[in-house]
Amino acid sequence: MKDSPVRCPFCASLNSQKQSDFGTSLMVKQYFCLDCKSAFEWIKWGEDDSHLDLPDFLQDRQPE
Amino acid sequence: MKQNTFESTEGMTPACKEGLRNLLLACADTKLLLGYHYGEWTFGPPEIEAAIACCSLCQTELGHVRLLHGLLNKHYGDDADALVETRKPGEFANITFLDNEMKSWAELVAANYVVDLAVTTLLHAMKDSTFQPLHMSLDKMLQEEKFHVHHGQGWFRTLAGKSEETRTELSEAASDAVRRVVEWFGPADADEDRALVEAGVKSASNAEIVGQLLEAVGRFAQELKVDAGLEKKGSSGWQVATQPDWRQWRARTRRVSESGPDERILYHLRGSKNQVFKLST
Repeated sequence: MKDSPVRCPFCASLNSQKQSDFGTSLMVKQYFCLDCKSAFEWIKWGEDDSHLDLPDFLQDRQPE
Repeated sequence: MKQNTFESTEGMTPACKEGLRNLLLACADTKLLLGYHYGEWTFGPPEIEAAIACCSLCQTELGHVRLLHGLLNKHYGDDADALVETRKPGEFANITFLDNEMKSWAELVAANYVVDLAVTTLLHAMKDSTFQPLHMSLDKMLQEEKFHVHHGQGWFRTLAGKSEETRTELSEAASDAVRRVVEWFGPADADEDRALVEAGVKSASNAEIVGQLLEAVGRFAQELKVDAGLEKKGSSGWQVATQPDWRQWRARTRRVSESGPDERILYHLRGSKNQVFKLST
């Protein structure tokens, strides 16, 4: 999985790790900060979703 | 040549109009049952993050059901409450993999990856639909569904690699899900399906869509050494070993039998126990 690191809202570290594609509401993903050990959520809509590992037709790209 | 678009079902042939209703209902029914199962698995998954994810997956599916029921109400006069609450089990057109409780996390993962992806593949083939009310609804729905697929694939990969036992359970669940998905898409030469493609309501036939789906599932399962009950047969692509008995297939329920969701599932889904507290009558 190649999700870009996101900045921890508590300590500003980029040393974070995605825990799940879904959070407590539809619009967020769950992350964990490996530095300050905090769980936080991240809004997912509007981001580039080309990193998602999906079948070609859902990426709207041609198969290799 | 640019095809005519439809703002309503007016101008559609009877086969196209009937086929579209059947398809919308089949997608709504499958999403309704998917929503139920995701909701049930808000408790019980092996990780708490997966429990929270199931809760969100459920919300998405039930939101999509409301949207599809809205289309059915506006264009076919169906009563959304009645579609959920008064139909007999044998009238539901969901993918039969969802008829009964999921016995294990492997089954839920198979539902998340194979069954959820099946409906998404079908909806994706309608994203440029000439039926404008559906076309206008699908961008957001597909955007949300991409995360469902991603989640399902992630867990599919995890169970495939964890141990021999988890891979075996996953293989059994995935094979069953694939077989039932093929049944739901129906025979290759259905009249209604042809009418929908001719009118541009769908961009591909169900045979082409199921081919696209099985290609994705077959390749992914093979890569992970999971037996999803599929074999690659030359230029025909990935196929199930045994095709359903299409002579028994019913277009309205997309099944080869008179089965339906378990009564206990419908009882919980409908809130039957708390009927007396319902706000509307």
